[in-house]
Amino acid sequence: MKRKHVKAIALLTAGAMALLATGCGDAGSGPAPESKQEETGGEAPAEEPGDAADEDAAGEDASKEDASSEEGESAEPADGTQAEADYTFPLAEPIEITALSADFGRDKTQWADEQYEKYTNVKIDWTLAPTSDVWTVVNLKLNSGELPDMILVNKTLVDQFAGEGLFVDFMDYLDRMPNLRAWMEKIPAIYYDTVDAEGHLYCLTNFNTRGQAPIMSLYRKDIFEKENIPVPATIDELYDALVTLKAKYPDSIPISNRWGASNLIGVVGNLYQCTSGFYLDADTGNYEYGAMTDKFKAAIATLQKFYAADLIDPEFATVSDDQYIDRVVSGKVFFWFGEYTGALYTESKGDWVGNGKKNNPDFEIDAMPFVETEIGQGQSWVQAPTGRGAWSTAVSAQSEHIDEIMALIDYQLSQEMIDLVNWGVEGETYEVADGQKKWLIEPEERTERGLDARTGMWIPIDQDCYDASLNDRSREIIWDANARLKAEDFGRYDPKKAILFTDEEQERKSEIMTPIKTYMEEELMNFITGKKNMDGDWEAFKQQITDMGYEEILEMYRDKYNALPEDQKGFDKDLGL
Amino acid sequence: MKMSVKKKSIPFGDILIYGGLFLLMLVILFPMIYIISISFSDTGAVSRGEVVLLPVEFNLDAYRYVFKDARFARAYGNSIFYAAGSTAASVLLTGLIAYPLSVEGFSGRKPLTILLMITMFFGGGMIPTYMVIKNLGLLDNPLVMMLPGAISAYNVIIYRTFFQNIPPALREAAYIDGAGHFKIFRKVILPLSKPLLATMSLFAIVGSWNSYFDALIYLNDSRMHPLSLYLRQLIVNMDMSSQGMRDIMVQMDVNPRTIRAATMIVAMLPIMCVYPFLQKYFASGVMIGSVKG
Repeated sequence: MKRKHVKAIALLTAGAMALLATGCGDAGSGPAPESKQEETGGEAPAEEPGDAADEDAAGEDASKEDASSEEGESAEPADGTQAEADYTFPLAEPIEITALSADFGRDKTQWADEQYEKYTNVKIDWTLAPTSDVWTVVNLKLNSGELPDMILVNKTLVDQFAGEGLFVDFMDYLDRMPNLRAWMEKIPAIYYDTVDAEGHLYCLTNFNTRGQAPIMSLYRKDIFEKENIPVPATIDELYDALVTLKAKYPDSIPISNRWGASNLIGVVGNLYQCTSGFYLDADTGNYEYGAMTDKFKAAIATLQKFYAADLIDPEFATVSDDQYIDRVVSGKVFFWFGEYTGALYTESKGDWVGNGKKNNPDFEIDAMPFVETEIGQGQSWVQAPTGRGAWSTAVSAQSEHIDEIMALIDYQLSQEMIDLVNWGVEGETYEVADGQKKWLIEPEERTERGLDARTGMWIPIDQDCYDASLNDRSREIIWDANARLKAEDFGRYDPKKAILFTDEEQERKSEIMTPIKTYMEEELMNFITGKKNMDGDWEAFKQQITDMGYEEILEMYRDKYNALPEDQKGFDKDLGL
Repeated sequence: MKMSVKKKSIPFGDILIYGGLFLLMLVILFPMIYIISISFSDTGAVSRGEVVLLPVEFNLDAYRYVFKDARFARAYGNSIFYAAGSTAASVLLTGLIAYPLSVEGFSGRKPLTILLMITMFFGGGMIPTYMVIKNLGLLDNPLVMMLPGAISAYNVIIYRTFFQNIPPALREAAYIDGAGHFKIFRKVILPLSKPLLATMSLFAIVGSWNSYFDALIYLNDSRMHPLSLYLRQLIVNMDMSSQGMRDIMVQMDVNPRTIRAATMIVAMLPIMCVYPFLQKYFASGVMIGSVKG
């Protein structure tokens, strides 16, 4: 009997191994460079027998775009499926490619897809993963080596998987991508965000046509006016104003918060020109660790002071989106350190003011300048034009249509296509009046037609398009904030170049920083809620973090930052406004 | 024999039990009533926090929206199809493997049981399983929602134990009357296992109705997605830890809570309808008196 068991188990194990082996074999087969060379190698002689060097051919083609594309059309029937170095759209021969992205409530084939196909003669067979779980699906595809031709990735995943040769290097094709070159010139971050240490660009970050200041300090204008309280200019004035209001409206929650404690800490940290983690400090000109700085201490002290005076929602760490909006709309909240302004007046985004007015006809929320703190001018995070690689497109090295896809991506960056995927067709979905585009259709119909470009593959997102979907007042607030940003410079900008770590460094970093983060989250709650005091306990808190070894990681950041070329140091203040 | 029905005072224990159960019922009912009320209320009233127990500004807009959404209808149809298919596959296949295992004299009993037990304690992990599914050609195939999960070792054991409680004498009697294995299974064992089949079907239906993960990773084509995935998407917030995600989230249009609530209610209905019909089979006792002896 016993022997039988052993046999069975052995058989099973063998079977499992075999399956694993075939799986891995599949993933590894068809390495990228080979198949690519085959294609270009086969194509150059067929097209121009005299021209031997691939690179030269490519360069030449780029310079005489029209001529070569005509050639392409005539050459196509001759040798069937041969790829051309240059393409004009719509392609002469239709192709079908696969792509994976997040669905954002979209359906697989919509009006926008049909238009896209008409313009390009490329049929995209979308895998649209639910947005909430998209990274699970992407991870699975990458791990199994079963990539669609185009896949949504982020920089971390690319760093992890690029070594396996899964992705095409955009740099190899840059000379054939005039539109991409033009955009990189306008927004250099497109290159800097995702380029790796060896100069490979394995993914293209998504980006908007320009950045903006979407987060502003807000206040309940009607309440402040009713109580004759001037708009506070400093953090102390703000404190006094809210204390007065709290005394008059005991039921109120002057400051609430959603998305967890880290959101509130982050916004107030920004106000104090720092963050809780590693950040590039404008004053010291190098990386700092937030918890160790006096700025951050001051931010937490402020939160503690506000909390002690009952100005902050006692549930600030756990309030859900719905509860938060309840509180705002029912008029309990008077002040926001920093909040997105799009929702204020726009119906499809929740229309806080409109709903608030039903309870209280005077209900009014307005943006105000960021208050000054002990540190100086309060700052706010600004939205860079690029997604910093958190949301990028990569092309599979196993694809049969690499050349076409690269050309397609470049075509995608032309004004014609940007208009198509963002706005649709002129006269049908939008019109141009006084040089400004305006929607002809309702937001619902836009969703139905699939006009959002945010599927993430059809970059760039036209920021004007998003703004045009907002209510006039919402838009005014954002544009006003943008104008103010230029004049007053309250923006907290990202560093020009994010610090990159190798796998081992990344491992070491999480080894040290994960326990620190956990410890910090816990302790910061204790400080804010007043269970620990800012004098003695804060020093002990800093000592503990020092003992846990944060300095090693900070050194890593600083060394890497110092090693950057001068032109990549400093902040990326270029919002393209 | 006492025949008198005395009017007794209700014992204290009963009050405690019924009181407790009543409280429990309130706890369970309240969220449901709340969701139902939200689904029938005006969007504005909901976001102003006016709905507490009963609908405010009663209307059917949310349901109109839900039923108009082609994706919802499609996902609904898919879910019914998957639930029916996976239940049928699960009951049939599990029954077929469990029956021989319940027969004393079957020589392959031990090794088969051990093979099954192994799957209870060891899994291949997500990626290898994905590879197997892919190589079986089940990716993007509706069968993937029915076959891979059809037999679970745990269920096989439950089936087997139940079958073992059916007196072997019945099987032998049928055998003597000339029935083969399949006929015995079909005509004797299955009819005697209705309580089991009802219970396990219900589990299978509920399990299939609620599962989303398999669909998420195995079905690329969103037109095949089941309702659970559609719901999940509507309700689950994204990971808000990165600024980029927050930004995207904020740019998205808001799904009013009324619509979310209405979708949940409509999605819940079939399962709620199935329960009462299967309930009557839960009562066991079919076996009593089947063997006279």
